[in-house]
Amino acid sequence: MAANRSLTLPYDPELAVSDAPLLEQSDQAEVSGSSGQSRQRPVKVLAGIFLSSLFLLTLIWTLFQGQEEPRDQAQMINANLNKSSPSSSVSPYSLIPASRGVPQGVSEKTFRGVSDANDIYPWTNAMLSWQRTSYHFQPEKHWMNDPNGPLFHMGWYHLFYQYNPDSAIWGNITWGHAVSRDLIHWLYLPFAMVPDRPFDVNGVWTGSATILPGGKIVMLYTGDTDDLVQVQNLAYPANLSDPLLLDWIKYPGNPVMIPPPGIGKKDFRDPTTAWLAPDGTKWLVTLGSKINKTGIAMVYETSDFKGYRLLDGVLHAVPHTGMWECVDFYPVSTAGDNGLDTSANGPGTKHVLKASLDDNKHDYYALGTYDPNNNKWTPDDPELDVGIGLRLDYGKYYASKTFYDQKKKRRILWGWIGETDSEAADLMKGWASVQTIPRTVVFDKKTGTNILQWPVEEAESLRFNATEFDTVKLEPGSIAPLNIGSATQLDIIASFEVDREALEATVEADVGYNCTTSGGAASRGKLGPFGLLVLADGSLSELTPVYFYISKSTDGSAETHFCSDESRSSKAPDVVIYTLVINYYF
Amino acid sequence: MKSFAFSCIVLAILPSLSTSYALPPLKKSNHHIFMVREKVNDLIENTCRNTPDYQLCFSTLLSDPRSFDADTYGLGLIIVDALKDKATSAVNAINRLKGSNPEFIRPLIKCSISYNAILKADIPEAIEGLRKGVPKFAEYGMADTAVEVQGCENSFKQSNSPLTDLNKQVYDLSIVAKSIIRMLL
Repeated sequence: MAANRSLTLPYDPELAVSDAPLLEQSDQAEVSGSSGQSRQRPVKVLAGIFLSSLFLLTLIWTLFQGQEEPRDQAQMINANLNKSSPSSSVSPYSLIPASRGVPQGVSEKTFRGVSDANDIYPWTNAMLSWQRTSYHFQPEKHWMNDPNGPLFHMGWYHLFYQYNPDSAIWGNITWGHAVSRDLIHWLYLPFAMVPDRPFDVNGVWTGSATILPGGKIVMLYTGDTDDLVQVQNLAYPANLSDPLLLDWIKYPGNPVMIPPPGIGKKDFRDPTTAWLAPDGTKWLVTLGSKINKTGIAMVYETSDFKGYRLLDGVLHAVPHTGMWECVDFYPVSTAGDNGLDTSANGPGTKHVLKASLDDNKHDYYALGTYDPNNNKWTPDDPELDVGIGLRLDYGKYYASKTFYDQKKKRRILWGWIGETDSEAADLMKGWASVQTIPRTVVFDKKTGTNILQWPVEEAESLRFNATEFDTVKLEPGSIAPLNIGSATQLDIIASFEVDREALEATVEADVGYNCTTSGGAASRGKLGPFGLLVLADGSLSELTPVYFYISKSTDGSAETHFCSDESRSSKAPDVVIYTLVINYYF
Repeated sequence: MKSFAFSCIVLAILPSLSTSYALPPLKKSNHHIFMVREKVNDLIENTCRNTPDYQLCFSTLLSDPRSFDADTYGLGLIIVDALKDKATSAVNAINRLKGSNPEFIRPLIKCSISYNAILKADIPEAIEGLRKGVPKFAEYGMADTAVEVQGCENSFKQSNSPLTDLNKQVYDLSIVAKSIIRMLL
């Protein structure tokens, strides 16, 4: 059963946690001290509630020492690069390469097969509960996936989410519901919707909210019918004057959209927030699908959200991208700093079209121009079209969705973070998945070619203690420990200044460097890697380097890579790696 | 008066093989007579040719009569069903092995955990994903199955695993299932 954290929970901004399990004192004592983020001595304990402490750091240099790796880590790197399991008599699982764009080294779950880690990993409850976050949204237990229908109403931010009330795997999907005053501290509410009608009995799936002028709310969502057909349904609050929007009514005339001719019954899902048509009275909404292997976004027109007409053609299509899930479509301001209502258009706006690609489990977007009169969106740069160009996030991130926050005039982005451990571990944990911290989205006026994201400023309310490290100077090949005491949650701001002479004197450095394929943080070059070792224990048997790497070509141009190396994040052999080293591009 | 009763039995023996379909050479001798419709054959043929293990795919599908009328989702479900059978056999084998050898105690615990995940999480997720048309969850389930199986197999030291055959069969089926699922993405 989903948690129904009562509303009597005091809303206290000092509490960094409102949805993580309360750690008993005895649990704290059991937590292994080998973790660099031990919970042994919380900085502040209030009535048995564990607080996370956040620090601010400023650093100059950290360089990694390749020779300091223990032998088994070198072996693990070889195992990763060779992509084989040396001691197993089972044939090695071969990686499926990314099917388009620059190879990200993304793999499906792979078993690292470290020959000296064949022991069963002795997971304990305390170790697994360490993985609970303190302020990323997650239910108290069981499975969650896509964020749904985010909206702001009568002083409360609402988040709905795909949720399995019965277990830690995907299935029996309902709409979980939570509310917050500040997008950071959340209170659980009863389910908004459960699969109880013929038009959604096999799944109450992803959907989006549209707020009409005057404040009326309509929710469009995908239902999987008793015949296993994917359809779109309409729901709306039972009581609009309820700030918590506890009860929802499903329109009895559902479904309102069924798969049109030429579209598969299993290829029709995830309707977006609607926007006003040029005539000012009708509404338009889009959802993704595919025709053979071409991903598409179709547009429907409606005046009352009950009757729909499919527009001719498609909003956009990109070959070889496969099924487009969780399409998102919204304007950004090219001139101002605020977010825009979903219906905005005209001079000073561009439109973002985003799709979650079923094929490789990544979220892609592109900037372009929307012509509502011809039902066409055109990317600014066809080489970086949806699904083959920029990603919204280069980590484990999917099914993202934005909404317009009319209170603070921001466009806010939610995204689902799935698990990278095995299902066995998920079953042991009893839960799986978190949401990202919500982010603001704005157009990047400096480059004009991408959007900028940042965690909402309310996240800063979680900070209450700061430690500053000034002018830390490090020589090549060194690691500088930063003593911050015990902490589980850190907010880190770090800036690095590269020695100017060294940079200019270097004529050529690591041309063609790629975080993923150039050996990760263990591979030292002339101008990198430098950054932080996080989630590391004292002996560096487990560590996650987050670092920069500068490559420079003979014509003087330099490229900065921002990488995250997960290949040595855990000794547990059942922590599987989706992406060995993430390559962010500048 | 004699009446002559003639019994005349005429047997018309129809050709039992569909002539437009050519069987690929099979490694094992196969005594089945394939009475298949040409159109459905194409789907099974094309599907299996796009998996890493044509033989396993083909023999598994052909031995299940549901495959003749199935779409790609249905073919995937048949493979997952076969995998479920094998995983169940593995669990039975694990239970029989308990107490047989002190060296096996810890690996068998690991294998129990792994196969529990396969039967309780991966396979139900794969079936759900295929039935409802959200293939990525089916893919997760089959990818995890491969990981769980490798974990079980590797937990036996010096490669003296008594479960190698079953583990390999489960593994191989998970790879075939996964490649079929990928055709749906």
